[in-house]
This record gives sequence, C-alpha cells and structure tokens, in this order.
Amino acid sequence: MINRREFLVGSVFGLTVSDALALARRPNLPAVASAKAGAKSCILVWLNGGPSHLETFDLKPEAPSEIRGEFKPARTPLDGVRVCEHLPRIAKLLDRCTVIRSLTSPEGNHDRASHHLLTGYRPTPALVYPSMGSVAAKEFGVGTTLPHYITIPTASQYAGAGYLTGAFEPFAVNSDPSRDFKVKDLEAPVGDDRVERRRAMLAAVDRLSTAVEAVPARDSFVEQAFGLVTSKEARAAFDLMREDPKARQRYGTSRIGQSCLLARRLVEAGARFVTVNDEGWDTHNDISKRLAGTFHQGKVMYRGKLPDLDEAVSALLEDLEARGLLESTLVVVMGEFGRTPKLNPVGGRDHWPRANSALLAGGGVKRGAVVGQTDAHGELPAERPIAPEDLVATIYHLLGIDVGREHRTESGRPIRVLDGGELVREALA
Amino acid sequence: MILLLALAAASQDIDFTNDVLPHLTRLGCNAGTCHGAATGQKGFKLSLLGYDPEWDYAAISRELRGRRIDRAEPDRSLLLRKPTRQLKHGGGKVMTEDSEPYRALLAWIRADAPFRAARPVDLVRIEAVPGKVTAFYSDGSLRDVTRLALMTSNDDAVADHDGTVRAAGETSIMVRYGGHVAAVKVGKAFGPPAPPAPRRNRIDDFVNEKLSKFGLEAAPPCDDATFLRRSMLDAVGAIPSPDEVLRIDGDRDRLVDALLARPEFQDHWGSLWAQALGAKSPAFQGWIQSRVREPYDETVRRLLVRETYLYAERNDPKVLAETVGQAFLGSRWMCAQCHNHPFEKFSRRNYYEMTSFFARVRVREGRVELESRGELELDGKPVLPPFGSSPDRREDLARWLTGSDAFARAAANRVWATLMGRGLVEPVDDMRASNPPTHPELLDALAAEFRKDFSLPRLVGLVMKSAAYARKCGKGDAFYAARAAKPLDGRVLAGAIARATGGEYMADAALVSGETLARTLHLMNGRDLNGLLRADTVETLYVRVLSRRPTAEERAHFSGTDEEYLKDLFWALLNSREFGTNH
Amino acid sequence: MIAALLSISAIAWDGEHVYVARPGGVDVYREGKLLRTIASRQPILGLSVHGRRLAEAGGRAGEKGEVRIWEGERLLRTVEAHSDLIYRVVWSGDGKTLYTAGGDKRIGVIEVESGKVDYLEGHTGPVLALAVRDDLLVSGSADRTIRVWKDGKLLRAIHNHWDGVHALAFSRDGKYLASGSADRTVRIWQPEIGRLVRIIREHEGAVLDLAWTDRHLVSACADGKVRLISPDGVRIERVLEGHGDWVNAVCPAGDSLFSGAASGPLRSWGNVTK
Repeated sequence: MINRREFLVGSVFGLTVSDALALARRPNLPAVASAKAGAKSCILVWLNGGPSHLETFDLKPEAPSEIRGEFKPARTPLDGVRVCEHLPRIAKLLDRCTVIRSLTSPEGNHDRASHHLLTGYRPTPALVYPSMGSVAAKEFGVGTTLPHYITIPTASQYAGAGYLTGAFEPFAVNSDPSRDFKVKDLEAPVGDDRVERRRAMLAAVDRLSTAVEAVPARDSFVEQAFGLVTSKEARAAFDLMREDPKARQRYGTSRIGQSCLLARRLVEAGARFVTVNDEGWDTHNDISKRLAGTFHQGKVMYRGKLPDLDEAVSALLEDLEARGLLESTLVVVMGEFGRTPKLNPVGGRDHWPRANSALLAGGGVKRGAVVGQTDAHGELPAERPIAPEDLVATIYHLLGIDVGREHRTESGRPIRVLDGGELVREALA
Repeated sequence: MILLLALAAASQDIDFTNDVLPHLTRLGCNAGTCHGAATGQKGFKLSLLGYDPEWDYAAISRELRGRRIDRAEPDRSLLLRKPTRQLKHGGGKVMTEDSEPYRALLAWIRADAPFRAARPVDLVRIEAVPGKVTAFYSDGSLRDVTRLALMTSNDDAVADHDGTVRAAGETSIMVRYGGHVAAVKVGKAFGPPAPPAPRRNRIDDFVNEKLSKFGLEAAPPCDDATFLRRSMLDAVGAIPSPDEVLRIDGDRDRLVDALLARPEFQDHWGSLWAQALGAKSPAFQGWIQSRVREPYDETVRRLLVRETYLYAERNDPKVLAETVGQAFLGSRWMCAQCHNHPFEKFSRRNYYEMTSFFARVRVREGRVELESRGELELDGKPVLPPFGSSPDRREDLARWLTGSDAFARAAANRVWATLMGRGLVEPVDDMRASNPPTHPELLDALAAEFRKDFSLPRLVGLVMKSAAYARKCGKGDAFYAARAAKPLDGRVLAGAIARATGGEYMADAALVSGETLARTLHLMNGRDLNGLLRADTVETLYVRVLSRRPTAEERAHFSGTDEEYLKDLFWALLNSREFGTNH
Repeated sequence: MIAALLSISAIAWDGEHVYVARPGGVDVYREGKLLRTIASRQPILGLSVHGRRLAEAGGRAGEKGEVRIWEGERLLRTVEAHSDLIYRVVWSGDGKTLYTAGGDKRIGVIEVESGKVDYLEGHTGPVLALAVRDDLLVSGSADRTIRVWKDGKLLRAIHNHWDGVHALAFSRDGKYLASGSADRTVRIWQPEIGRLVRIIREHEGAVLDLAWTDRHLVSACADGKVRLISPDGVRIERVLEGHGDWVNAVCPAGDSLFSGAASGPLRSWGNVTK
C-alpha cells in the first residue's frame, strides 16, 4: 500500500499537479482505518411512503381484528420469529439477517421523516444535511470510473448531498430497469481517439480562459464523466442485457426486482452506495389489495408490493451470497416510518413514526438477530427503542466511516458526520 | 393551562421566568437536542428554549408528584443532583455546585419554588451590543443578562459564539434571552482601509463604504464583451448573437435600457418569479410573466384576492400562509407550527393567526369561494386573524402585506440576489432580526426606491447600472469586491446552446436538474448537441459560443483546420467552464 | 403551619385519623386537630392504612425507595425496596403483604412479617398507580399501560390510554376498575377481561388520583378540580373547585371527602354524598 503523503511529496517531479490530484483522490485507502473489516458497499432498498410494519416484519396476530389486518404470519428459521405470509422467500432467509422492530421517531411527515432516516439528523431550517450516500461518496472519494453514489431510478430529495454540494450528489440512472433500460449519455457519440482529443481540448479551453476560476463541483463532474465514458467496465455495469436471463428472472420482472439486480451489478463494479428507490408504500387505503395484490377469477390483476419485494430482496441476498459479495455488501431495507396500528375507515393505515421496522443483512451484520420489540398493538417500542440516528450510526460503523469526522459547510461551519446516535450493537456480528 | 397561585415567597422576589428559566436555556437543558426535543428526554420534557414558562414550571415542580424538586431538603433535588452528575445524567455534567446557575436554582427551591414573584415584572425587550446584553422590564428596571443570554454565531468561521472574531470578515451573533431575539454584528477588516472604488450611482456609495472599511480592494470593471454577455443573461436570459458581440459600442447604460425594454425581459423575470412562487401551471406562469412590468404591489394584491392560481395549487391554509410568508415577506414561518420560532419573535399563536387569513378559502370549479366554516384551531379554540374587518379577510391581509416594510425589502433583496449572485440577506427567504443584512442602509435605500412605484424593471436597471454590478469576476468576492460567478440555470443553458449552434436544442430533464453529473454527461455525450456541431473558424467559434474574440494565445493553441478538429473545438467550447457560467 | 410549604402528595383515613403526606413528613389529624407529625427528611408519596397500621412510602428520587410501617406511634418496620422513589403503596386484603409502585418500573411485593421483597417486572416506565382486590393486583404506569396480575403472573396488559396512567381504583363491590391518566380521561373497566366500559373526558388536566365512595367515583385533576362522577360513569354530578393547583390526592372519609393539592391547605368537603 502506498502511503499517500509520501507519494504526493514525490509527485512534484514528473507528474502534473492535476494528475497527482487525480491519483490522490483514488480510493485505495479507506478514509479511516476501521477496527473491523466490515462492509465495502451498501445497497439501500428505500421503501418510499412508509411501509406498514404490521404487514411486513412486525405482525401482531393476537391483536384485535381492527389492528392485526388481514395477513397471517409465516414461520422463519428463527424460533418464534414470524414475518408476513406474503414475504415467504425473505422469511426463509431470515437466519441470515437482522430485523429491527423498534425503530421510533416523532416525525410523522414524509419529508421530515425521510430526511431523518437518510441523514441521521432532524431537519432544520438552517441546513440540509447530506444523506448517507453522499457522506460515503465524500469519505471514499467520489469515484473516477463508476460514480460511488448511485440511485435507481431517481433520488428522493433527502437522498442528496445537502451542504456537501454538487460533487457528492447521487448519480440517478433516470430510467426504469424493468422497461427498456438505458442510462442516457454514457457513450460518447464519437470514437475513442476523438474523445481523447476532446478531453485535451476542453482542458485547454478551460486553462486558457481567464474568465472564471476553477469550479470544484463541475470540474469533478467532468472528470467523472470522462471516467465513465472511457471505462468499458463501468458502462458494462449499467448494461442489464449482459446479465444471464435466468438471473434476471430470479429477481422478478418488477421495477424493484430489476433495480435490485442493477444495484448488485453496480456494487460488483465498484460503486459504494446504491439506493433503490421503490415507490408506492404510502398505503392510506386498501392496504391488503395494494400490498398483496388483487385477483379476478384466478388471474392476477395486480401483483402487489409485497410479492415483488419478496422476490427482489431474496434474489439479491442469495445472489450476493453466491458471488461471495454478501460479506462486503451491507443491505438495508426500510422506509421512513411505520403505519397506524388501527386500520382506518378506508382499509388503510396512516403515518405512524413511533414504530417502524428495518431489515439488515450482509456487511458485518449479525445473522439471525431480532432487535427490539413493539408493544401488543405495534404502537410503541416496548423494548430497546432505536432512533433513526442510532441506525445511521450503525450503518456508518459498518461502512467504516468515522462519525466524528467534521465536514465544512459553504460558510465554513464544521459539522460532524453524525451528532449523537448510539450503535445498535445487537445488530453487529 | 391551570391557574397557579401567586405564592408570596417569604423572603425574596424570585421569579421562575426571569430568574430560573434563563439558566436552563443558557445551560442548554431546553435545547432541541435535549429536554426541549419534541418528546423530551427520559420522560422529562421542557418547552424549546423556554418559550412556555408555565409548562416548564409544571414539568419541574408538579409532574410525577413533584419528584424533581425536594422542598424539605432542597440540595437533594433531582433538578440539582442530575445536572451536577451526582446522579446518572444522560446529558452529562452541565454545571458544578459552586456555579451561578446552581445557586440560583437552589435559592429558588429554598424559596419554595414560586412561579411568580410577589411583585411580578415582565421582560419587555433586550438590547445587545458587543460584550453586553441588557434586559428591560415592565417596571422600568433593567438587568445585565450577558452571562445568561444564549449566543450563537451565524458563521463560526468568522467569529465564535461569544463574539470573539477569528478571521477577517463580518457576521452576526444571534442573542436570545427570555423569548426575545437580537443580533450583534462583529467583524474584522481584511487589511488597512482600501482606496475608494469607482462609483456610478448611489448603490456604489453603500457598497464602496463597506469595502473601504474592511480593507478590500475592488476588482476592476469587466470588459465590454463580458458586460454584454452578463447583462443579457441577467436581463433576458440569453447570450448575445455574434452580431451583437461584434458591434459593442461601450455605452453600457443604453445597453441596459434597451435590454429592459425587450419582451424577453418579461419572459425571463416572469420565469424567475414563477420559480420563487413554485407556480406549476403554465397559465399561472403566463400570468406572472404578463405582470412583470406592472406595479409589483398591485400584482401581489391581485394574486391574493382576485386570482385563483395560487389557491388552485395549494389548498391548505398552512401551506398558503407559509408560501406567502416566504415569497413576499422573506420569512420562514414553518418552524412556528409546533413551537415558538426559535430564531425570531414569532410565536405559535402568531403562526396560526397568519394562517387564519386563509382559513375558509376553497377553490371550487375554478373559482375561489369563501366558506362560512373552517376556522383553524389552536389548543381546541378557534383562531382569528389579528386585525382586519373586511368580509374577505384576504383583502385585509393584502393591504397589510403590501404596505409593510418587509414586503419591499424582501422583493428588493431578491432582485439584488438574482443580479449580484448573493442577497444582502441570505437565505433570501429567511429575513429576520437575528439574520441582519450585510448592508442594512443599502437594503433600506433599495426598498425605499422600490416603494416609489414598485416598478421591477426600474429597480433592475438601477442595480445593473451600478459599478458594483460591473466588476470583474474573481475569488475575493466578499462584500461584492468582485463579481461572483454562478452556473447557468438549465433552461437558460439550453437556450444558449440553441443560440450558439443556431439549431434547436431542448431543455432536457438532465439539464434542468441543476449542476449534476447527469447534466455534464448530457452535454458531453448527448447526440442532439453532437449533431448541431459545425466547423467554423476559431474566431467565429469563440464569438458564437463564448461571446468574445479569442486571445492570441487561444488562437495560437487551436491551430487545426480540418472539419472534425473544428467540430471538436466547438464541442469543447460548449462544454467549457466559461460557457456554463454567468461570469 | 406555613401554607407555602404544603404540597400534599397523599392522604389516608383509618376511620379515626386523617394522615396527610407533605414535605417534611406525615401530619396526623383527629377530629380536625393536628395530633402529631411523623417526621421524614425524604419525600413521602404513598400512604395506605390497614386496621391500625399505616404504611408510608417514598424514598429518594433517582436513588432508592423506602417503606415504613407504623402501628400508632410505634415504628414496626422499615423496608428498603426499589432503586427509585415509590409512588404508591397498597396493603393486601389480609394485611400480610404490601405492594409498592416503583419509579424503577417495578412493582414491589413485600412480605410484611419478614420484610422480604420480591418484584414484578414488565412495565417499561415508572409505575404510578396500584389497586388491589383480593386476588387481583392492577398497576398503572407512565408507559401508558394497565397491567393486571394474578398470583404473581401477568394476566393481561391493557394498552388503551394514550398517556401515562396515574391512578387506579376498584369500585366498592370490586366489579369495576377505574383508571385515570395524563391523557385527561378516566376509564372504567372490567379488569378480568380487559373490557372498556366507559370513558369520561371533560377533565382539563391529567387525572392524578381516583377514589370510590358509596355514591360516586371521585377524580383529582391537575386542572385544580375535584369531580364527583356518577358511578355508571355517565355524568359528572359535581365539580369541587377551590384548589388553585394540581390536586394530587383525594380520600373519602365517611360522609366527607378530603383533597390535597401541590400547594395550599388540605380541603375537606362535607356532605358531598348527598
């Protein structure tokens, strides 16, 4: 391993400054040496809208009917631990995961709750905080071939870089992986030699111009863009057609399924934080139909969110394990809050941030653990309440990111990566 | 809330609100990260920064059978033992036994923890100067509360929270005490007083005074080509044509007037206002554009009272009030929805009162209707507007709004921010006493000028004709010593590409997303842009794209002549930093 | 007696004496006159009488709980229990056991003869209320639940109040249980099956204490008022005003009623049952 400082001293001779800078930014070394080698990357499956904990990982079959809903619990390899019957494949894999059932927060508004869980900070008017992915991109170096922080297909507004600005915004693929997937503008419209010439010309134009000083965000994008354009491996990662059709099928033809497949490919190619953004979990009405699907005369009219999730996440976990990537990839499945224990008059549930569940696997997460419990009706944590910042602290820990590190805002104010938040040790292997 | 007896403390005039609560605020007990959080900590909840003294009093002295204070053995009270860490305390050791807050709390408990003093006084206002904060009370008395006031630096790169200046520059220290807020400016010059900078109009008097005071030398004026491009981008959102570049005559004031008279001025500034308002429908955006040359106050009045556009897009009174506050008064009221605004003298009640102007307003079939029911409630009781008696209370709101000081100031600040790259108050929708303008007299003068006729073009022209507007771009842009460069907005960028290539170029989603990797990739690899490239001389390419002639060095460097080479140069210019920036 | 120092936390009546717990100790009255004061440097929050015996409980906030058992002026026993203040103490029907509600989230079961202490665990917040009816023990907590215990085991947990449960009381015939909460309601239950029978609102503050008389269910509220509720829970028949502060305790005494608040003197309300 090259010691970075020594290398830079030597770089005065024989290398241009910008080359040296480019090399210095290459993420050969972790930002902070972590005590334990945990995850190298993270795949966050973000269930936008707030998935009902009572219909996913925290069923209450003994509660009165107006609370327990229509779904039955299914057994898992863990004694006494049951999850929703419509997640049978995930259920079988539960001995490889940690389920947290006692996430709790007072924020019942989508925006505020999303911000809290994605950044670890309560939202304030003064500042937009950077999401975990942006912090990871900053810590690991932005990535000169594949962008380090990628979202599929787009990012929620709280999954951005906040005060870290431009260079650490996520790269959104902006295309549905399950339908004619194409990431725009990854291939140059001219041959390799012209690309090289264009690169040199652009550098010259910028250098010779005296109009504007260097603009760090844009300059970094130009570098990243050229990196993508000139790296066949990076572009190949985005090409779903290269995947074995059988493998594609295992993930399911749904959007979330193909997005999880893409996430695996990206992580394999070196991306460090990939978010799969899945919509449709804000089930204020008809929860059973929306989650488990509808049938008419034996035919499936609408598949439902749960079967798609089940197929996608189970395929992802199995695939990562088969490729030997599960140890180094942290998988997190969660949404911004849980939902009201009492069903509302239109058969749905409304926002309920006081109880929420999350599923974690891989990357140094304990296998077969269940952390925390809610009370009999799934209203409040009965045991081991875990705040969003605690979960975020744990994710950072697994990724080897030092939460005490300070970043500076545009006005120069130092802010810690995370303020407060206790590690959820029960989730660590 | 319950009634509390005014207990006459036998020996002292100790008052909970004036003598105890400030200590709790100062020590951080009721901060949003501790017991002032929405759910408190470990079952003990205080109001955020002490905005509700009655609640706090009950929580400390009455809750859980009064366990937190020990009236028989005051020094064994939990209220004292936990923060001094004689007992486990999640918040750590917050004070020591020989400190002033400890003594104050102990004395209060010893006096049997009264809420009000025998002769109660109320805090009327606070005054802050560097090093001293004074509190003024209803009986005419005053107190030095410097040690008790909560002080926060708006920029701790420049000054610490106690006001000690660390670096050259200027910032404000926000001072909070007893629910009141004040600001103190502190700063340090960058060097000895600088020679006076060039002056073109009154605006420069204010800007130059500050530059001189802070020892900042103004950047020289930009050249004509730069001024042409900059003023066109700012006024009409477009880059100059090659013809316009080659025929510059150097009369900048006349150029500005001509630009303001163009119809594109309305389109461009209309779009900017529409963005600030979050206007979604094309009809709404079109209406705003049509009103750009009309008096601004009249436009706002019509928007609030006559037109349905605003109400059709927002049907919640709270959202309406917040939008109006942010867009027209530069105020963020959202914080006060749940507790008194932490940075401003604006209580929860004020929030609901402002919102009540929009209660009972509904949009039905494209018309705004006033219902007879639907008042907002606070703590179970209906809230009515704080003033006005018209049957349509929005008339009262519109009259008050357009006549208020803040209205003209907020608008002037936004115009300034758009043209100069940085508002006199930043963020532009967060104007409050604790976030003062960098140039208060300038903002007052601009607002006064605007108030004369509320003409947007006239105000824009005033700023564009100043020397401050015309400076060269540079890194040292503090206090407008140099021009701050800004990336081009997506829509404007697309228009500029179309103009430079002479072809059709649509504003793609990737462009509009702002400065992102997606935008860079699109510009770099987009087939549509690539298809618009044509070969031309180096001279022509620079004039078309960068709106200036190439320097001798540039001419010498780009010496190739074959078609592909020149197309690639065209490409490089379109992707350049200079092209993508308004400098 | 300095009015200012009075902050009554509990009241008990043994048929002859009225016991009033306040900072400094427990005042003992008979026929309206102060007989003596049981001094205590620690706060006393709970009182309970059984025949001639008085149990008073309190302790030190954040540190420990303590119960003292008196017979007349004789101190029979002092028991240390819990790692935080004790909020309530209740005698079992046969006088052999004392139950204590602890700020440490536990319920103490004290064998009076030996002084042995066992604990019932399960609440996730301080235990604030207790009620006993031969076989059943019911507890209420800041964790918003009511727990019904039988033979040392949890029979059922009732999650219904949406804020802490501060008061519990069994009706005279033992059929109903009333609960009072910081959610400003009084609820009436059939405790074995956990069935909610009635909700009484109209309180403008936390309900801090409850007691049944022959004719009423009496509530003590933080809004400074004592309310006499019809036994079927349908109507509030009378509102007794006068305390200007949180009413912490209410205690029936024959035809009259005593109540005490966080400040101000002890109040007695005669003839309230008429």
